[in-house]
Amino acid sequence: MIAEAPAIAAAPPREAYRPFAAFVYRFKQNRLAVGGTLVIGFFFLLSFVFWLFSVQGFQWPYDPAATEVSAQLLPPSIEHWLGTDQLGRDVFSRMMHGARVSLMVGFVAVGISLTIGILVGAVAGFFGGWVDNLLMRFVDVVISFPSFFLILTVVALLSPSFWNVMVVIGLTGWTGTARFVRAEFLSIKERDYVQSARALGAGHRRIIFRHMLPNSLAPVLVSATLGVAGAILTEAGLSFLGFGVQPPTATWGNILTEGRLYIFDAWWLTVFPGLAILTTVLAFNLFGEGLRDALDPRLKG
Amino acid sequence: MFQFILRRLIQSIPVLFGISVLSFAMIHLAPGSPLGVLMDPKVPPKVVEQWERNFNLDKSLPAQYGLWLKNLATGDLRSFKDGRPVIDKIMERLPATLILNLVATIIIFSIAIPLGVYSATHRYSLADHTTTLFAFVGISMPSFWLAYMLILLIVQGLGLPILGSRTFGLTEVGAVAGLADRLWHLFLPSVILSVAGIASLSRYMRGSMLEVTRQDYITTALAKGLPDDEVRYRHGLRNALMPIITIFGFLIPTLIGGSVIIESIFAWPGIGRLAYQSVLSRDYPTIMTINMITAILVILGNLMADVLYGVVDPRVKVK
Amino acid sequence: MAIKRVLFLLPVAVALLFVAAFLGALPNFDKKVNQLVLSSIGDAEKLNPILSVDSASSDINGFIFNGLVKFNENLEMVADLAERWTVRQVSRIYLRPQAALSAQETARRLNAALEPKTREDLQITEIRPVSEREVEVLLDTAGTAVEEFLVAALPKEVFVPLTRADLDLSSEQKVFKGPKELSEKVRQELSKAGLSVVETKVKPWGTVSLRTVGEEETVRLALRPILEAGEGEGEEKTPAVHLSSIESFPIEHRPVITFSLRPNVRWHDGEPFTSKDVEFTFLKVMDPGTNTVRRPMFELVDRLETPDPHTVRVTYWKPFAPSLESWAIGVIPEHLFRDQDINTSSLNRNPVGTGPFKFKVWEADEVITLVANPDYFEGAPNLRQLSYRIIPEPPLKELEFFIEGVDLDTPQPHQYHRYITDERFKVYERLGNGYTYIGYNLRLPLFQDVRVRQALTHAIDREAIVKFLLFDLGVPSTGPFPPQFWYSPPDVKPLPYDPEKAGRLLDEAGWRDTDGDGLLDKDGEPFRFTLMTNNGNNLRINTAVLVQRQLEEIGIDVKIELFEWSVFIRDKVNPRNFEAVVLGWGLGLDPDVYEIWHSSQTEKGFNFVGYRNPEVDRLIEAGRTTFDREERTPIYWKIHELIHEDQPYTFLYVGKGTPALHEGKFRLKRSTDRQEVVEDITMTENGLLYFFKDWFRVRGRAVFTSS
Repeated sequence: MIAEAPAIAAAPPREAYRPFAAFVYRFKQNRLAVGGTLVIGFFFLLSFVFWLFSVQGFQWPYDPAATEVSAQLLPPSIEHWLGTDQLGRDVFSRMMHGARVSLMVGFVAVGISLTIGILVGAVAGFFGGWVDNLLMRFVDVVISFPSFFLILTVVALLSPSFWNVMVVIGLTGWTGTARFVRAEFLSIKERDYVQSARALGAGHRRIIFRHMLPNSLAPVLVSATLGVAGAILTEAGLSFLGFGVQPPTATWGNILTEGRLYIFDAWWLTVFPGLAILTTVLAFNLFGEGLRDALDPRLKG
Repeated sequence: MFQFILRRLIQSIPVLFGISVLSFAMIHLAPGSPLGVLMDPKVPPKVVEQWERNFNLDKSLPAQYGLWLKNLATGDLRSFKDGRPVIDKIMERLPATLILNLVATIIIFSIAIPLGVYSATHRYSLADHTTTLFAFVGISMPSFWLAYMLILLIVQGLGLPILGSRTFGLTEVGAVAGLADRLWHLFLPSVILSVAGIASLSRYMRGSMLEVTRQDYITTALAKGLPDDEVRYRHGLRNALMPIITIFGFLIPTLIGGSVIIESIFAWPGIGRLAYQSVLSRDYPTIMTINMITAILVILGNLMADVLYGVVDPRVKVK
Repeated sequence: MAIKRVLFLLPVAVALLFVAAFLGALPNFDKKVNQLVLSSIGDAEKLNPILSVDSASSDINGFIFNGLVKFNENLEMVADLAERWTVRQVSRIYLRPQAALSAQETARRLNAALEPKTREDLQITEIRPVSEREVEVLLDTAGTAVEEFLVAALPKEVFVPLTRADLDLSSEQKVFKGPKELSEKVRQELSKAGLSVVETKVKPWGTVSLRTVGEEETVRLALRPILEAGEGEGEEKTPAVHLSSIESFPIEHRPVITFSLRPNVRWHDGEPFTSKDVEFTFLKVMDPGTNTVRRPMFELVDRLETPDPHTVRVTYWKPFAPSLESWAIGVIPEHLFRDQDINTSSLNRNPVGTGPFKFKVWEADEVITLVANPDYFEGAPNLRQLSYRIIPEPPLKELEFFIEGVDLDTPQPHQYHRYITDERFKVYERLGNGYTYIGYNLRLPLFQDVRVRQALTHAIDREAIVKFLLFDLGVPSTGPFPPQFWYSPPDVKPLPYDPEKAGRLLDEAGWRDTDGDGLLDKDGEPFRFTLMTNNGNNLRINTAVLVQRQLEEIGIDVKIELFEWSVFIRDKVNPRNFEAVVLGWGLGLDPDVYEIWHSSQTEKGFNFVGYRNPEVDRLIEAGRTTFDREERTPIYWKIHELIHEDQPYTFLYVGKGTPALHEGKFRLKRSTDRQEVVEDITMTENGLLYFFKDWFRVRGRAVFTSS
């Protein structure tokens, strides 16, 4: 009964072994992960559509920045699906536009932290020796450094645009990636194909980028997905402390932060943005977990 | 073992030095100033300049760093805000943070482990799927949102005091009722603080338990005809718990970092709030000291994790 | 299987423990003692009245400490630690060295010219010669009104203009080593020019103040070498020393305030309170090593004397109207602070005062507890205890008030309707002593035209802001003074919301939409500016957003930027690096607005918008040297009107404070002539808590439950 065969262990279709098809097959077995993917796709589509709207100057259902104070704090209704806020702005419109910003914060931040993490990890793992030692001590310093202060300083040093919030979240999140890229590199370095590439006289850069990096990509991809989820949550937390993307630019995080002050007047200002964050982050987490299982069945939890 | 710990401790000295330089530079380079908060028509710029001299803020950064080191060494590090020794300020808030985190840790372990074990032993059952989903929901929520949702749904209806570490004005009740009151005030903050921990730890536990049940000795024991529960709980659980214990080392610093928001919402008098307020008011000595203490906790946590790993799994040679 | 059972019972046990805690605590939640619980968003910092800068500390200090004077329930100045006080004045006339009249003769002539009516009007008590060249006039009140009489009564050549120069030594002085050397140099230069220095005084922060007998122009000429010596070399043209102001004083007025202290006042530790404590407090405030913001209020004090344990005599350099108010500062005990560093003393956390409540315990970031002082000089308070809780999250403060964890709460405007409609609560209201405004950086060409500023105000719908953001808890403001005070003119009408008029004014100023993009432009530049404010203040942020939309309607593009408070002040406001800001001023009770509106404060002071109006400068200077309220009133009305015309700010609104109590939970009990009077608590002009000493908690009050 321990050997209860999980569906995933079933062999992929018997044709020639195609790694990608095998991956897709395994991924599709995980219903939660598929659900997550759909939700992510849905939010992407939404934010893209609303971005197109705003580029075309077509504001639907309302202009997210249009204040109409006589219609302040209205509960959800046919006219205002998710109600209005303290300035009479339509919460639904604001959230749709906020979706783009929130997703962008997630992706750009992860992009930054991946770039730094991979570079540092790859260099440390590939060269080893004192380079490795120095870089890893630096990683130790950054890890032991309370990220709150790092975030505060960078937010404050740069002007408070939402690009900077992304940069900051990215700057604090790279240490994990750096560590496991290094570990991966240390082990791959000794493998035959790397040794032979080296024997054939390939340069450092070629070995790193053509041979070693692609082979350590799977865990990087997984951690990137989970990183997006983390970054969206971090933005919300930063907003709460007053260091997130600043209003009147709408993000889910700051709609929620402003809305909580009116919680006993207008629950919809708190509940809906929170649910949006929850669903998106959940979707990314499930997607990432599915990705991990499908990329490397050995890791399956 | 002793040598290992000693070496790790010595290694951490340059790391701590690096952190102190880095955080000192960052804090001082950040815009704003401890005196930026004074915006009162009765306070002319001359007063501000005089204060800056009194706080040595007119000196160069390296000189200020030197002064900080000196004050640290002589134990005379004082807050800009109220002139009190920073250590006193931290020590009077430390117990509140510790008790909150201790209770949260107890909740995390006592709920996550059974949950993980149950999930693993009933793999792919409805309960397993539900637990998985809930675990993911747990790590996907902004904690302050969860706090507000709970307050909206539960507390508002009950009409009971939840803020602070106890009910105020309750001076004439017995010790037992007082204790009960304090425990009640711990309830919401510690539960909210532990949600994410429960979620991730139960996933770990499930994975670890599954890993163990695949091992040969379990198969052997089962083949020998020992009862399922006996095998699972006596042999399996013990081994599955080993990697979990090491997580303990990482947990403490994470919890302390995560309690800033919870402490603010629930008016809990802990370190997180002190750190936040110090940052807002640019109370450099206090920020620096909290930074260093957090860093030391992280380093000790890592060390503890490594040591524990060596203790629970003799195969791992501590080197 | 024991392990299994233990494992799965663990979560149940934890859950049961919390249920037990809840059940155990439940019956006790209602047992409260005879006390009042207040609350604040932030913890106090220093319970020391001369050091505190935050409002929580000031609130609590008010219960523990007393000043020499205080404002009563009608905002009139009354005695506190001082039983009574008198304001007298010594006016001194300096005679020209070559004057034909001697000091004695001058005094005689003045006395002869003094008619009984004038003597009474001006309250002149004595005119006497004090040296060969000086005559003193003693008056019963302070002020400069006596000047007219003196000038009229004597021929002009008798006395000379007395010139005062403040020489400011900037911190990076290169030419002179310090104030001592500077004042010596000044003496030399003046004597070279044949002028004599009456006195020099080195004041804190390296300012040298000197008085010399001579015409202003002569003094300026004589001091030129020193002023030029201060000019830096090459690119650094900042003078190390500069003549900040030269004022002519034909006659010098020295107000003297004499306080008679209450006898038999004791500190909380039993020691008697004496004039030495007042002197000590003053010296500590003036000590540059003390980190206090109270020093400027006492800068004009020449000397403070304590002739006996119950008398304090303060002599000022010149008449300064807010000087009496400054003695409302809490007095600290000399016998405890004597050997301590005041900045770091543990007494700042364990205060000993003379007030109605004694400090008991301070639990950091949680609660500060005070207990009644049975020996208070006005009688012991009725309440036994006072707790001051710290609750950082505003919505949860409301929750805590509803369940009586806090007895007094001041709701935000959007919370107000829940308080006022709930019969369990009694809500009071009072206009605040401050206002919110949009300040324009007048150094920028964009805002230099007064028509543009008037247009901006016309285009901003302040009625809507008050109605929808303040929920009608406030009034639009028209100028620098809130409407409820005597110094605010009654008939200034706010500029009405009138976008069309705004358009016309902008058109006159040359702003029109020539390229059809919906934005006004002039010389090819669109009308565009950045409106900054601090994050964390929701009311200001929402105001900024509304203003942005309203200005968009008349074709002005506004961008909003938010900064953390400390960054905002330090990097934007102080270096004048902004276009427009939304900010608010909280004001004292004296109308002196020198720091905010005088043109000397534009570089480094709080006139950060750069407002310069010579007429306003003159009025401000006149107002702060006049003591009489009747005389001051027209001055301040005029200031208000002039600033209203100039619109350097768009004055937005004055908000109302709305403290709330639980209905019937507290009442007032006064004992007068062996008779006890119990009354309801009412709002006073000095706030709800003014008669706090007489409050008591009603026992057996009907308890309303939430269900």
